[in-house]
Amino acid sequence: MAVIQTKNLAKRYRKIEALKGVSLKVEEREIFGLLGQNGAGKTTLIKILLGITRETLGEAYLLGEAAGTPAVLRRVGYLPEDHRFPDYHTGHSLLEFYGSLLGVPRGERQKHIPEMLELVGLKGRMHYKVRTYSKGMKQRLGIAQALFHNPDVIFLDEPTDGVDPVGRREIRTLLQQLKNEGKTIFINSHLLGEVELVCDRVGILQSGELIREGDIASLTRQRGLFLIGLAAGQTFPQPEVSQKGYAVTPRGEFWEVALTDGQSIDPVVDLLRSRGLSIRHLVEKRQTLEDMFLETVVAAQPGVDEPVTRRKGRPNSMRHDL
Amino acid sequence: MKFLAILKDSVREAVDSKVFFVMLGLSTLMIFLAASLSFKPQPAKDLFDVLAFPLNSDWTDMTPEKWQKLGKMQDQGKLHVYQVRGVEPLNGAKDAPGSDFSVIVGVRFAKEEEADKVKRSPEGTVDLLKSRFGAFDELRVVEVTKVQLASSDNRNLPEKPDPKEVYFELETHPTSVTLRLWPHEPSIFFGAFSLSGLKTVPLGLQLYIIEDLIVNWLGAWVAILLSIVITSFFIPNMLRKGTIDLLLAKPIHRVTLLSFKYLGGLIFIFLNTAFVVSGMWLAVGLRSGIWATGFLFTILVITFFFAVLYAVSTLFAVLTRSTIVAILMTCFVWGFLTAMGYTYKFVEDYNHTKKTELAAEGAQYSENWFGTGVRFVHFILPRTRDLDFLTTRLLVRDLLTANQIREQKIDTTAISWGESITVNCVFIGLLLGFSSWWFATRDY
Repeated sequence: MAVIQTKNLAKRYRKIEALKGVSLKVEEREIFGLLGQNGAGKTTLIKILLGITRETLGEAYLLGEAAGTPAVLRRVGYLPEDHRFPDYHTGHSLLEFYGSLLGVPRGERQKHIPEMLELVGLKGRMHYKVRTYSKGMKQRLGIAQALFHNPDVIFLDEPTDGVDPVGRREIRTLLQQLKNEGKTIFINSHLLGEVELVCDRVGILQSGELIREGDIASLTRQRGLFLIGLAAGQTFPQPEVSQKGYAVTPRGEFWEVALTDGQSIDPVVDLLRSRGLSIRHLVEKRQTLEDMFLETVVAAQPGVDEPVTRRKGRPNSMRHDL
Repeated sequence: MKFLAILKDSVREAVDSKVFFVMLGLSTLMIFLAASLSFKPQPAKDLFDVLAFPLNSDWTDMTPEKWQKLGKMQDQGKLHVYQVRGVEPLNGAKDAPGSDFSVIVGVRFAKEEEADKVKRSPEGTVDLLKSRFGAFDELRVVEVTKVQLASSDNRNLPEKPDPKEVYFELETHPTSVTLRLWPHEPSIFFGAFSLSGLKTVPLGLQLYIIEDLIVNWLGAWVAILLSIVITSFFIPNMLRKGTIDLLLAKPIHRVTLLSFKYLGGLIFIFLNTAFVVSGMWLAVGLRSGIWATGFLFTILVITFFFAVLYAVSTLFAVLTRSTIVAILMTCFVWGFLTAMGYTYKFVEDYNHTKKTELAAEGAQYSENWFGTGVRFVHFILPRTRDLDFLTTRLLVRDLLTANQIREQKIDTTAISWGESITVNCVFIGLLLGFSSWWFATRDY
């Protein structure tokens, strides 16, 4: 059963179409990353799923029920982007407040608040006012409140925003642990490196449309491009490989072999071995998620982010001064 | 549990703001000032002089004109048929409202023969003194337990008794209203500053002046203004981007959330009002000995008054998400409602006068468009001025006599409480209903 599902979900804010018929599914125990440029509609999608914003068209389901109902929200944790906790609370009292709204019994709240704050590294500061927290600490507190009631589904909008590298690694570990516990996690993030490390599947949202979706491995795999490295002192037989119809390019100490349609890397390997050469490195070259993202986004809407400096003359904002 | 959580959150937010401490400080200061009041009873004779005064005339069916005429007669010395000639305590302290007293009342006659006749047969005057001495307005200020002709050796008799005067000795016992009719000299800061200008004023009237000052002036203006400021933060802060997302993602219906937030603000103000009013009631009660329970009811009236204004604040907070707009609009509506109340009263008085004038001439009065418009607006808008009346009446009930109410020119116009409270409740309901609908249907 899909834990999160949308069908032709559309949202219009007056003249702006924030979502244009988005259909996606996230399965149980999956970490799903939603990528997209600013204003692509990522946060709108999450807000619709949580009932904070209402869809214009289409359907949204969470845990098999209509999204946004109190019964569903009881099983959902949420860390919004640009969250703003009431700064008159302490970390402890904030979890106490949210825990009460979530219906967590008092005894459980008293027991779990210190545990949860310890988990995110805030136990020592739990009785300090939120206004004294750094950005990273507020982010950790945000994660704590999202996980506090042991939800089945967790929505995290930019979870590592403002967190230092050590903290990011801790969050990644935590997410993996939550996945192992059977949680479903939905992440919005600009930090593609983070997403690549933690997500099972990703979707790319561009101007309100889901333009690509799949698991990380399949999206970043680049078919037909291999990197080969030989033992020290051995020479790569470039002319012979080229004669067999492969395009060969030196890449530092390695050689990049490009396959055309229908070709296999096996004849190249056979050739090297028949020459008595020792293969020390053979790997199918993959794109990073960032490469794939940029390629996808630019292909979908080329020239959107064309830098102003490429234009001739002064930027538009200054032209009226002339 | 959710309601308590939101209430606690509102209290936490209010405590965090400095305005709360200003309000708490003012409340504590008011209680301290009340606790520093002292009331020194004036000589018992002052009270008994007042109590003898009604024996000199027929007090039934008194009109303002009759009161004026009586006042003139008293000034001219024409009303002194019955006069108190001496007072001394039978038990208890001298000049203490709780003591029993022996009072010598002299009854002056035009001729000695008339005086001698009464001395021989005093029963009629004894009955009169027994039944009417100590009655003031509708109240029995002291019980007359015994009346007899004063014996000639009574040391309170004048050194040279007037042959036209007959002296009676009365024994009195205090009643539940003796204290509040007894003139006292008030002072503040535990006797440091005497308010001697009020020393001829009965204690009840003094307390009315003090409590009216607090409830209708300080209570209505300062405390409610501060309450508006404190609570106006609650909803705009809740609706801030990044804060509202966290709340709406919790399993609580939006209408419930807004209602709880409204009730939280209201309860917060109720608690603060209860603190200051009951604190003052306790302080004034301990210092004066008068426990006017009507003053305590003003907690509910002030809270209800605030409920009307907080509904306005909630509406503008939901519509604009701005604290400043919520405060300004609430103050504007408050001012408008007050102005409407006074305009309505003016129109009513004007209509009444005109009707009476024209009726005398045999003509009929027809109201102009302005009067009709004012009456229509008054009908559909909350009657905050009625609540002022209610507050005054609650205070008056325990502290003043009918005569004092007339003297203080306190408006006792009949008000349809059912209609007034219904209109106020409907207004609150409509504003909160619209606010809830708006809040429930917006995207955040």
